[in-house]
Amino acid sequence: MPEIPMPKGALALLVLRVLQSGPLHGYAIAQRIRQLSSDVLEAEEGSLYPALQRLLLEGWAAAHWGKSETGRRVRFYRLTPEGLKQLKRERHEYELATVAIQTILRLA
Amino acid sequence: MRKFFRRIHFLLNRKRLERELAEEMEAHSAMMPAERRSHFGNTARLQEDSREVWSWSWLEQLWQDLGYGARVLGRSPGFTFGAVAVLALGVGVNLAEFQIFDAFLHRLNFRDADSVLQFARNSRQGSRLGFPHGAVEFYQAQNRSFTWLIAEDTTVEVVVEGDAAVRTNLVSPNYFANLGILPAFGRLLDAHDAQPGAAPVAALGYDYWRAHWGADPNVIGRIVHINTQPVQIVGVLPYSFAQGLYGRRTEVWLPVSARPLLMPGAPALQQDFSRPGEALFGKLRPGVSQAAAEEELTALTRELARRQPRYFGDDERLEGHLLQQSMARAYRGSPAVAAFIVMVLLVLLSACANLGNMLLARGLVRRREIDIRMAIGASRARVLRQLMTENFLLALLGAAAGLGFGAIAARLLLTALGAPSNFRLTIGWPILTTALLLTLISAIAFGLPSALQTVRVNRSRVHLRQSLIAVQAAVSCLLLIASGILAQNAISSASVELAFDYRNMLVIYPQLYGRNLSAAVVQQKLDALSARFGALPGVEGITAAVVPPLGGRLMVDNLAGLPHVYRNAVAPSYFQVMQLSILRGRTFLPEEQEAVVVSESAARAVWPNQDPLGKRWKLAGAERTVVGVVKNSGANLLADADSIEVYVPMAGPDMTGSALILHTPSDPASLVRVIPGSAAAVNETVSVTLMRASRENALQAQTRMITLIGSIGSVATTLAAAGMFALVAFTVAQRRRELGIRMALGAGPRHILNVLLRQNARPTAVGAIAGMVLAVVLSRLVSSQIVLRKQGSVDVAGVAAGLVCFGLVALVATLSPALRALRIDPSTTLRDE
Repeated sequence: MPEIPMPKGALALLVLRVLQSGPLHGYAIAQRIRQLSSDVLEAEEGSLYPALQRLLLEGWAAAHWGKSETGRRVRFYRLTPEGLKQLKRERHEYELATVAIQTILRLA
Repeated sequence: MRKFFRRIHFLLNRKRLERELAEEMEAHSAMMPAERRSHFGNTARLQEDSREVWSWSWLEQLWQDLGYGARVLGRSPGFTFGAVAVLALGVGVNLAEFQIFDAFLHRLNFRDADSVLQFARNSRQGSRLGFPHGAVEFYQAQNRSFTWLIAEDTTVEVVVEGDAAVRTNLVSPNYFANLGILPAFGRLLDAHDAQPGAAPVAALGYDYWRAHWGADPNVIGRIVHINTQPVQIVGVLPYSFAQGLYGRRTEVWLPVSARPLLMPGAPALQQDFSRPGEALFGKLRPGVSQAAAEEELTALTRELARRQPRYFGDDERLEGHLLQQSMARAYRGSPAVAAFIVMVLLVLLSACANLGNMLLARGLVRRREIDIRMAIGASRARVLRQLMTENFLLALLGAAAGLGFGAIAARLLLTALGAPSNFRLTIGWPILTTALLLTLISAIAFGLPSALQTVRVNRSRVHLRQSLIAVQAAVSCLLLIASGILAQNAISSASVELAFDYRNMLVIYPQLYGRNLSAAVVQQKLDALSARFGALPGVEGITAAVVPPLGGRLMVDNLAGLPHVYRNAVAPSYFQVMQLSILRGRTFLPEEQEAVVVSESAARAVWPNQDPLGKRWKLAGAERTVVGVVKNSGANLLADADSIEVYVPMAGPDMTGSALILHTPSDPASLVRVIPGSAAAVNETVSVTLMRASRENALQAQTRMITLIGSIGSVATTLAAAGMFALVAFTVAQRRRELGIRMALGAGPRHILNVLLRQNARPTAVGAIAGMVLAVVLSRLVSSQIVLRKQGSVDVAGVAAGLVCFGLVALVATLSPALRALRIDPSTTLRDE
């Protein structure tokens, strides 16, 4: 499937969702997003890390150091309770927006 | 909120966290398959982007700007030093003047200064500030509202070792202890000295000790004779407490219990209600309101009125007002002080204008750098912000230097004003906040216009530079002219001819007020006292007047179409004793109530070219006939060069305030000692002053003012001169090539000078004229306060002196670098690139 640019603002939402299933390190997060979207969406590293830092700043994610599958020292991110609340909020907003857009496209 | 703390945490641990981030991205990159690795992007950029998430961007930029600004200033040390010096001068002078005003001119520093109340007796007859000693004792014993009550009596003048008219303050036993005043040397008076049978002691005021006792610390322990009574000197007051709370400068401090000693024949102190000579001050007990305290005192007063109906009205109410307020009103409300502060701030303005010019000049040099920055993409606002940050740095440095310089300047000024060398000026919070405020104001004042100019694309630098020069010229001109006017005033004041022999005259104030005496009784008492004093050896004449010349009182009428009319109510013998020869007509007859005698200038003013004798004139509430014309006394010309004098007979309620004037061709000081005793013999208490003492005080105050304003004037002129010099020198340096070419093409010296100076000549002239106009306006505004003699007209000599001074300075400042330009060798300059 063709690759399309990540819609603005979607990255944070997707990262939060991905983290909901469990703590992951940065590379794993990018991989997961690519795999789950069947290569349609790509989490550019250039935007992934600033987004992760933003999550840390806002307190929606917390980080700790650990070992990856290959034994390298990597940083794992996990969702915090505030992050879960934020995920629900953003998801709700996103769904509302999507419905609205689709309605306009259909009826306008 | 937690976000804020997280940010702080990041900023504090930045290095470590950034390293970790780099490590993390390394790992990520390593895990990626080789072909995608290039997609990772620039690590450094990622670092920066991540960092930006955490920090406040404005903080980052500010930090950047500060660092850059510091480096820029460091790269041109000459300019930085010059700019800081200019600012130090401007800010420092301001700080010095504020400090001096606060500390020196008040000379009143004591504990709880802002909560001490002074009490007044309000009744039908008006408001009075004097209490008899018996009342003070009663209040002190009976009150429950006060932490302390103290009193001082400044009405007693004594002779100390032949030195006449020494001003004393007789104070309550706990006076110094309650006010927290510590001696400069020795000890101060305390409750022990007030015990019955205690040896009489005194403490000296600092100025007096320095002037009359040569600042000799060994004076402590010496016995001196005060009013012929032996008194031991036990200490010296600190310089910072020169006046009592009542506001009169004091030379010798004595316990109030010493009064019977100094005035033999005066009633005993205990239960003495006859002499309302003490001013009452108190500090409220915590938790007691002022109203409650006033109520209590009023109730106590009513009790006193019951016991001593002769001395207290039955409707007397006691009212307190804050001491600090009344003093503040006296000093800070006066237009002279306001004008002074304005002038001092103008110096700062001049410094800023100077600095603004320097910055403009530097803008020329930095043009390339700024153009490059703007070309790369910095917005104008960004560059402006960076320039302003540099200016704030400069202002901060300048203010810091100004604090230091201000301390030195204050010290110099104090020396010039005659203060002792160990006078401590503390740098308290008000000074520091003023410094900060001045820093901000000056940074904006000098920084903003030049920064705006520098970033503007189309630069017409000339107008701003010219206006800055005009500002500098105006300020220094204004201050120089003000100094000139004051100096001229002092000179003419010192040379006024007084018709009467003031050096050999005494003024005696009998305490006739506040005693409910009828006019007839007052007249009797005055006659009795005159007779007694007149019989003293060496007395040539004695008379009475309500407004003794050179004293603190004035009765002035403003009548339409006439200059100020200075009125006096005098005894018929006045003119003879005061040596004011009667030019026409005669003096008053006894009992003649509706006459008036006019001075010759009054006659000329009111009835020009006519004989005033017999004319009718409505004056002081009655239709009067002119019975005589006398010579001008000159006494009022000191304060008001256009004044005219008139004299009416003494009558009615005025008389209780009258004074006796005594003329003795031999040394009047010897009589000062004798008079209080002589008065006491007829149960009267009097205070005595030497007429020449008040004249000297007035002159001293003038000299001080001139010193202060003169010093500001010289600072401003130095700044202006330095500014002009620097500007011309800079122009010469910039335009060397151009000048070289001109000279090579045959331009003569006059042409070169013309080219160099023409731009600056006009703003300088405009500024000078503006300064002159402002000076005249200001002098009009404050003429009533600073005793300017020519009230209505412009003091031409003073203005001229100021202008000439400024002109000379400006000339020298601009010509010297310009003349150096003439020595440019065209061949050398054209060869240098």
